Amino acid sequence: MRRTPVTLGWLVAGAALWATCPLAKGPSDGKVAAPTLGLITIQEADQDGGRRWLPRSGAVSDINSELVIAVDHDRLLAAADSLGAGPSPALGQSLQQFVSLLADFQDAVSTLGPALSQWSSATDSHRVDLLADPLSQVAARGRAIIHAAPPGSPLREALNRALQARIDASSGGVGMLDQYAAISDGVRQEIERLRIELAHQEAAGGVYVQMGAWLVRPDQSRPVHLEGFDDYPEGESYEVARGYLPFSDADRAAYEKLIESTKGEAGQQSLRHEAAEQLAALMSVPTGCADEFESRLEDAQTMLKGRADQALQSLKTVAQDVSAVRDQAKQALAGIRAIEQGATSTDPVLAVFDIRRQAEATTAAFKALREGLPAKLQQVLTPLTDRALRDSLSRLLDWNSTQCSQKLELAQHQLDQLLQAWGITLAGSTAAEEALKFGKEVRKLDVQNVPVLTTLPLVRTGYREHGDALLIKLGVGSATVASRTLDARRVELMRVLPHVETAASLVFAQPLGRDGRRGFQSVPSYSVLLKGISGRRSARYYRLFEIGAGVNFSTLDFEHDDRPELGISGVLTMFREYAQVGVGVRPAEGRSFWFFGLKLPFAQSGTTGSTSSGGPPAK
Amino acid sequence: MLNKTTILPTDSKALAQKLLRRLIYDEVHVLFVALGSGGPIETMVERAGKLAGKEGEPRWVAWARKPEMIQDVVAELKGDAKLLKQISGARAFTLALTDEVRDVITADEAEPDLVRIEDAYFSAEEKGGA
Repeated sequence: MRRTPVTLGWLVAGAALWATCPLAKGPSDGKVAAPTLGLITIQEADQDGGRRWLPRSGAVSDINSELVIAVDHDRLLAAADSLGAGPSPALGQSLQQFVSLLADFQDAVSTLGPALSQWSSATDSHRVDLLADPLSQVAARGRAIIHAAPPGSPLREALNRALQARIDASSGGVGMLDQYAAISDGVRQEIERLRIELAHQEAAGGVYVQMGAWLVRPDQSRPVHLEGFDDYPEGESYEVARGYLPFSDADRAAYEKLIESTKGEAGQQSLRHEAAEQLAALMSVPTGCADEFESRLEDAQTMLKGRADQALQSLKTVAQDVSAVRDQAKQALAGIRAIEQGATSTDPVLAVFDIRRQAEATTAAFKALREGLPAKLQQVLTPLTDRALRDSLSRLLDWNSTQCSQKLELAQHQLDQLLQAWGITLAGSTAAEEALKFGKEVRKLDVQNVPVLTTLPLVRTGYREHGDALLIKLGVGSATVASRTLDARRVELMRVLPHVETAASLVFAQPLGRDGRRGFQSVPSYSVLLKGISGRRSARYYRLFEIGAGVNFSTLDFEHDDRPELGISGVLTMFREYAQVGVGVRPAEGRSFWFFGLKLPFAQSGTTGSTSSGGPPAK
Repeated sequence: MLNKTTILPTDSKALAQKLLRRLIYDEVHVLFVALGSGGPIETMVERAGKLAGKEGEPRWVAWARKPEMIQDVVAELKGDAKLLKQISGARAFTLALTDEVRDVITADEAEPDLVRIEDAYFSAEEKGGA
């Protein structure tokens, strides 16, 4: 029994470390490039001044951020053409084709720049290796553009004009990157021309565009106002608090329930058993994954060491050869000095012949060494580059993508069932969201008048909670064709930035030291936690793992004398406070204790915030 | 003034071939080889030189004002058989970094504009392009 709590404590800590591994990470801050696909792009501006593009899938935004929503006008025009209400289909197809060709070309050019800049300094054989692939990519895409521009076509003229302009602007040759820029300019000019022509045809055909947004909550969805796109009123200003809040009425009620639940020996035993069983089952997954990784790591280490030993041995042989030749040369030199100084008893002429033979032998030895060096060095490299070693290292890199992913999926499923039993749902996109339709307040805009940008401050969308989502849809229709969705984006709203949360929960405490022989005592506790300090994560992390650290206050009575005493601890929580561990001290006694906890269904803490009026928000 | 262009001598066959072989086999270039003389060819060479880029970039132009001087070198070239046959009488051809013929601007074509010359360079730079 003594070992069990410590083991459980380590398992809980291990789960905390596992939750910070790449499996739980989402896109890093600022490293998601502006997405080029789709009609809608979204940039988040958070309260701490950070800005980032949100990816098309798995997008997470802080719950108080401002979202900048952009509509790709060119793609919208091309897509609107598909309604067939007036504009020439070929025109739209050409526009779409050129947009796609330009994007591909620019992607390829972006990878060529570094290779091109190294061209002049690389050796001849290395040059071709360095440049061939990226150059080929650009050339292939350049040729695709040129093939779409037969002589006499407007695109051909645009390309020639753009290239000529660069030639006229430079005194010598036009750098290759400048030529690519000229080609891009030519394509853009043609895209602009087509866009204008298509727009004129669209206007004649009566095509309209709509964009709407909804705040999706577990039990309901409500539309929110998008400036320039609808006539909905702005929602009540509601900011989810990030700082410390005093013990609220809800927290007090939860705490009182916890006190009641801990009374009675039978209740305490049942709670301890249930908590321990469920936690142990969950913790077996990350330990299994860690065991597997450790096994692969040991294999790789053993193989690498063996190969390194072989390479070192080969290198020693080379060193010995060099040393032997050096000794030979020294001997010849010594002989020459002896003759010079008359220190040899041999006939000088014969001595010179001997020295000459030695010099010839030394020269031959140097030549043999130089000629044999490449082969010997290859022997050094071979064990370090053989397939078995590469495979071993590859297995190390691949471990996340094989069995561990499956184990994680299973653990998530088990946790999902567990949380559902506790009344917590892990919401995701549902069929209901797909059925959301534009209300009559959503304007039908002429394609020419669609705003390119709009901003949506989340604090003006009314009450929302951690785990809600924002859904944005862009649709197109006409008098004769019903509106259909061209693009939809979903953004998970989470409390991403550093913030303070409070949580009341039940913990199982045990004294440390010589008092450790006592069993666990289930006690109510209250934690003030700092979260959001580990950087941006995936939606899965915030729904399942979310780690917090802070201070815990508990009411202890290890002596069972009905005189409760205060315990103050440092606490680490994970799985959104459903599991926690901590070490603390009883100030009155001056003794320490540790605890682990499992938040059970009747101990809840929710998102709290403030409205512009200062009162409680309307849900 | 021509940019990044080597004009092969017209009075020495051996020198012209030596220079061209050096450009093809000893130096690493995407090579645009212009053939012939006259106003349109001069315009093409000037354009090809401008599009050869800056110093330190892989493109280069060789101008054989008398194509018969370099027949032996042309006969040694590798590439698609159909393209190799087209070189005779052509305005220009391009060679890849690996010294294969990749594109031929024939005399039947219209006077090559900037885009056509760019396409010839691209053909040489694209792996497997012809």
